[in-house]
Amino acid sequence: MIVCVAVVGHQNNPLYIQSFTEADDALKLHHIVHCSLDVVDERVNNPKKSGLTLNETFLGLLYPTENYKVYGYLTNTKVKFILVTTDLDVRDADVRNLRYGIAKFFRRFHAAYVDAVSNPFHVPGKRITSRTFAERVSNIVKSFGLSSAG
Amino acid sequence: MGKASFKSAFIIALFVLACCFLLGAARSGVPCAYDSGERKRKAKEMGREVSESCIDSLLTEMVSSYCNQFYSNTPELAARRIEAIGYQVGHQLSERYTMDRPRFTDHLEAIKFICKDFWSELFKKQIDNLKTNHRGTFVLQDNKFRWLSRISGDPSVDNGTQDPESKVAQAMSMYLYFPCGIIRGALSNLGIPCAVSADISSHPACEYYWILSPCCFSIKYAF
Repeated sequence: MIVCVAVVGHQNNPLYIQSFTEADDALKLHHIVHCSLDVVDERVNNPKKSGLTLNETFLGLLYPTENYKVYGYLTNTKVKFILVTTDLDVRDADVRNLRYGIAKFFRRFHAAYVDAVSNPFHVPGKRITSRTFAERVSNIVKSFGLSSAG
Repeated sequence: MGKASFKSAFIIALFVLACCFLLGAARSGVPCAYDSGERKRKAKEMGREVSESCIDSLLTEMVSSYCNQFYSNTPELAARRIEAIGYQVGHQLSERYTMDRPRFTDHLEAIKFICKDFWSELFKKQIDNLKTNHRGTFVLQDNKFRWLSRISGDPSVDNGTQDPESKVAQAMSMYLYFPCGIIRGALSNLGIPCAVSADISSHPACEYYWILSPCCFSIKYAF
């Protein structure tokens, strides 16, 4: 289950962060997202060490914690998408699968993000306050939960 | 003051919305490679198309309303406003057009992207010539710049005080601030802050040089 998604701008400023848990652990999840930014930087600056040679936008698993796994995605415009999930037993092949894997989730999320920032009233670099975007993201998260469970 | 600034912000937003809609409309209906055949066909049927003359009219109207209505006495200010609209449009379009691409490794790759893919999305053709001095200046040459190809000088307003060719060039340069802004917005969104200027390369031998409408964009950035 996806518990948290976040969009972080190119200066590491938070653009959008949303947790999907009933429990009051938003702060903890935000902390996890914050920590993952260093991992993203490290991956991008030392691509050889991490085996990331193709400059793919999908960065794969950033780091696992005891209860969560954190995945990352970096667009051409240096905007980072972070995903925190509780599914611990996911194989790497499934993650990169474009039909149902997390890579697919990120592509759909990216499309939603692009539509949100194409709003002429949106100021680049400011938080995304669009309700349509929030709704679309929660739909993507929900449908991803269904497809990965079934 | 508050009302006026809101009004101008609203007008800018309106122009940006219109430009983005016209330039990006065809793209938003494009299906992804991993979609099933059924969905692909559906998306193809729904893919929206926009008449080319719409964007031409919009550009003409934008330039004329900024030059003749809002900032009729200060052409520099009008130019800056038009450039700012272009910046926002380029910023948003680059976000959309780089969606399915691997990340760029260096500046040259980003410039090449502008010359090839970005230009084909906007004008259905690539840049004809790319020159660089390897010190941070790039010159992009388009031999038939679409947005200028339908503009011609009005010979009836010649009053003999000024060279008609330079007058036409002056009027046409107003139309070039918008594409300059688009290039600058796209590049700065890709992490290359730069300055972009445009000039119309005139051929003194050819009287109707605007029919050929060659156009050069120079991009300068600091390392």
